[in-house]
Amino acid sequence: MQETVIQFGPNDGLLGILTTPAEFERVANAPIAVVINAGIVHRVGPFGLHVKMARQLAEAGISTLRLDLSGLGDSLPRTEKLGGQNRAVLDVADALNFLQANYDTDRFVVIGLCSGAYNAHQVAVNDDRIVGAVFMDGIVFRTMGYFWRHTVGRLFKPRTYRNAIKRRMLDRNQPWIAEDAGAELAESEFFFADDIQRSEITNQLNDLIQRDVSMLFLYTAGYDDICGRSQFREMYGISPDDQVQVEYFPKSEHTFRIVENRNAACSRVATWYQAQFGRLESNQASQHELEELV
Amino acid sequence: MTPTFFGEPHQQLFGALHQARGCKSAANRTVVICPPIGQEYIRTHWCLRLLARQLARKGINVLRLDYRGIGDSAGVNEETTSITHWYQDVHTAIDYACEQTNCRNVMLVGLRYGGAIASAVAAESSKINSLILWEPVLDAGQYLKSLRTMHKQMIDLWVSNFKTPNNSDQEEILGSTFDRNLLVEMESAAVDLDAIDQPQFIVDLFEHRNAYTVNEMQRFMPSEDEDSWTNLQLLETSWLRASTARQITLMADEMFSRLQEFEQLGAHLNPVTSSASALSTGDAPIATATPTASPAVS
Repeated sequence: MQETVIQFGPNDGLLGILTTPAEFERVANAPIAVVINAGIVHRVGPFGLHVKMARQLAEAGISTLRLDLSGLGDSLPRTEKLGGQNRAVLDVADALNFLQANYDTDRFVVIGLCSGAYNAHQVAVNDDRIVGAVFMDGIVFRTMGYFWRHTVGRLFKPRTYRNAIKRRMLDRNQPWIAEDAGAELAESEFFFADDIQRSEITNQLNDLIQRDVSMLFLYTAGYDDICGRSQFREMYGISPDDQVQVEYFPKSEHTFRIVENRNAACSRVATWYQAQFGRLESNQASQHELEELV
Repeated sequence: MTPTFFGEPHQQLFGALHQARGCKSAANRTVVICPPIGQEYIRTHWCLRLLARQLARKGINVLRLDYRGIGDSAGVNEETTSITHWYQDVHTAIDYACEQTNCRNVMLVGLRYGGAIASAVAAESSKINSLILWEPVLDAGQYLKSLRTMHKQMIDLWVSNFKTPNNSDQEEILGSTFDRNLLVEMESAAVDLDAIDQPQFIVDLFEHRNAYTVNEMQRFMPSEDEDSWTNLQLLETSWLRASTARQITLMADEMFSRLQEFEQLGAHLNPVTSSASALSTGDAPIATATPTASPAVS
């Protein structure tokens, strides 16, 4: 496995770390994964999530670019007028252009957590080179099912009351914390644009399905606006299948603070990647080429 | 800024080299920044980048490094089994910085546990001309105790019961897995600023000022900041102290000017003669500092 610094974009002001597998491990024709910043955390990801994921993908024969969007981490801000364009879409397009020119591929998978997932969604919708996407705690909408499972459901869990009491006791000793004792749980309204419409997202997801983009949606219990795997279908009317996979981690926090949860998430992504684009697909492609020769 | 991997091929370290700008840029002025460890590394990344850029604008070359197993450097944190590994990484960074900037010696800037690492390296290296310690961790036992308290709170408040590894081999603390031997070494390693001959500028919280005593080798600047390191709710909040970074930049510039005046920058260092020269301003010294009783620094 090798890790290389790459710089690209306007005046080479954007920076990323490209993790590539050893030559003998490399999966031929696999798309390169591109991991987008979560919030304002730099390219290593919350608690080193992105580093762990990139290296695990490399062990599976996949190359991964962890980039810093413009103005984050060690990337410089963009200085040109954006004209209403999403900055992340421009940054990732620069990354894809660089990779396409230098690594002989035009297929990519975008991966993002939280605001990274939102940006990954925008990139996937706007760039046909995206053949796969992993959205971790991305765009969600509360549903009636959410209300019953989460808002009402937790009233029947003793731990809810226990934790509320403990948080208030903790609050008294730490004077400058947030007023809401549940502030530890991430809420999507703080990370995404206010005007996102469920119908628009649904249409975009269906477009991605039509484009044969493989998608993995990962959600955690630490993400306060979703409760349970079934909420996905409630939100979008799309039933999970092999192309659109949905996973819910009921014990995991939003940023995978706990190592065991982080490992589980990275393994899930790696397994998904291998199944969608890994050696199985590579073997099938090789078999097809062989059959054509014969 | 030039990002790069350096060091041994089997143990690459990530570094970001900020080239000095301006009229003082040719003057053998180089800083190596020793960052915090664990989650504090991520919280302070932005601030240290800001500091590096400010120093560079003052005509000072700066190398920021990631220790092995942390950030972008090779390895995983749990494979670091001794604090001497981190010391070695700083030595490697110093050698690299000197080679890239044509300097004979460097200033170390250490933030939080990076301050403990910088102090230890300074005590054993002839390539350090001075130190700046920013809210340094001087009592690793207290430091680890506060991290463990936050970790316990975090687990306790979670939606379900959770147990994280804590055995004779490893311990998980706030998102990082540490080797047991490393933790034992951290707890037993004492930071003795008296043993360091190089001049030191220390920035610490106002409430810690009494933990330092007067010594001609050091200058202490109290920070008006509040302790945010032990607050669980700030665990993932970016720690940005632009004003203090600015003051540190100005002090670094002044220290380098003094060292240059006494011809310490281009030379192999004589620790005795470099001592008070970098801090002497002709004015009465501000409270200068050696920690006495173990301060409740965490």
